Amino acid sequence: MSQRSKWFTQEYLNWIIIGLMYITYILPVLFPFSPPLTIGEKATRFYNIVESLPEEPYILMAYDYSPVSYPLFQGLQEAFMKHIYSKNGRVICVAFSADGAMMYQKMEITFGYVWNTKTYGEDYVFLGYIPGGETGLASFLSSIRSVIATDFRGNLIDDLPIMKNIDTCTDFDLVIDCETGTTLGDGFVRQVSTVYKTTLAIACSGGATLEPYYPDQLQANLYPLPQVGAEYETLIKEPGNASAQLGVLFLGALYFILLFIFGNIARIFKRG
Amino acid sequence: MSYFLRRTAPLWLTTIISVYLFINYYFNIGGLQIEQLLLSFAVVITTASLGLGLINLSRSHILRIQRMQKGQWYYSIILLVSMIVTIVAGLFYGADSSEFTLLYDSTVSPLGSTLMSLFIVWLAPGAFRAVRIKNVESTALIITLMIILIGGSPIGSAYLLDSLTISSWLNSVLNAAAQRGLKITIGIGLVILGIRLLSGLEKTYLKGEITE
Repeated sequence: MSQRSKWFTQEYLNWIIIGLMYITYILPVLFPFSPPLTIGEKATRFYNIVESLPEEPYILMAYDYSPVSYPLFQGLQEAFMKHIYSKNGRVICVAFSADGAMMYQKMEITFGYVWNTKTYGEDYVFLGYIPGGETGLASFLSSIRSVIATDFRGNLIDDLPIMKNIDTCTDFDLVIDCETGTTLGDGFVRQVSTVYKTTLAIACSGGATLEPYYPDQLQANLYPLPQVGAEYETLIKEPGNASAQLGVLFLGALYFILLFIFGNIARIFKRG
Repeated sequence: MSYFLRRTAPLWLTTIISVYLFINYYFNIGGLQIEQLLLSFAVVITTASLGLGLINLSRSHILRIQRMQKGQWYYSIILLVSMIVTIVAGLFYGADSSEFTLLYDSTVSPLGSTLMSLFIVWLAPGAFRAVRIKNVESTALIITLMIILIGGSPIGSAYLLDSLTISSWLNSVLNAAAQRGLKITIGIGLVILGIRLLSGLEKTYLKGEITE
């Protein structure tokens, strides 16, 4: 085969693979379907943790993911927030990454159908972005008032009813961190579980790296996303955003597996 | 600046604070308020460092524009204009305003999604060409990859329940063991760094304009 025709075949092959990939991802959007779902141990464990919380629990919710990961977290977050609110929970939101503040605002819009029925400052609050990485986290957990005086909207935190009896990590019944990669995952384990022994749940796209802490220091390690979100939606019997993504995930994963298989078959034939 | 202010004073300050925090953590000598104060200093310093970063970034890009650095000066203009527009939007309208959110949603969000999509587009031909069975190691790698991919996607949960068990075992036993090794190594490294800081042997943070 000449160099030119070889280049031609290689180039066409790339476009065929990419074209088929587009079809694979577009098809389930046009014709939605939901593959059967088995509820895993990780979602069940977290569900049981939320279920075992006392009435009117106080939850610290950290937004530490980037906009790229938003679709991965949205379904899971909405599902467990609904579950928390079914127990009349109070959610104190905060961000330890700069993008987190924007992600909270995005959530305020998409989760508006629930938050609009709640009172800001009583049922939920957003304290804004706390810089400083793990040091900032440690400082925040030891005394919220020593780090910030106002919430994201500029209200004095002492004037907010939700913050009345809240100042340190021990005042929370559960700490949840949603993050991309493992920016602060280890930090949360070190500062929340090790120091204050507060129940900790982390939803993370790179959750496998936090597996050594699970389940002793990290009580819920929520991954892979968004599948665990779909499982949680099934558990609370309210299918939502994560369940809707299952079809795309199913075909996408299948396509990549077929690429691995056909790539190797092609190699065997090429070698003769 | 005298040698004492440049070198001896920061060294002593670091050592005293480190020893104090160390003793307070393990023996609880009752200095919680001082510890909280020191921790909140760290938050303030980090915030101030963001401002310092802003000044440094502006300085280096203004220099590029002044020198009309080939192939770069127009990117510097874009960067500075974007930075000024974002700061103005944040300062005048507030970080929770619709104007600031619109700016973020129409730039950072789509750019991030575009990069991720491009990554997936080029991953597909890579999956066809590069993931090849060549020897025992590559075979083991591909088999593990397939099990994790099936177990972590709805395929395993829908039709191949055994793959869930195997992928869960791979994650909780093999992966956890490897991750634990890594974390312990990092931990030992941090302990050594801590000892060096406590004893004043670690001086790299004093570098910069200091010459002996």
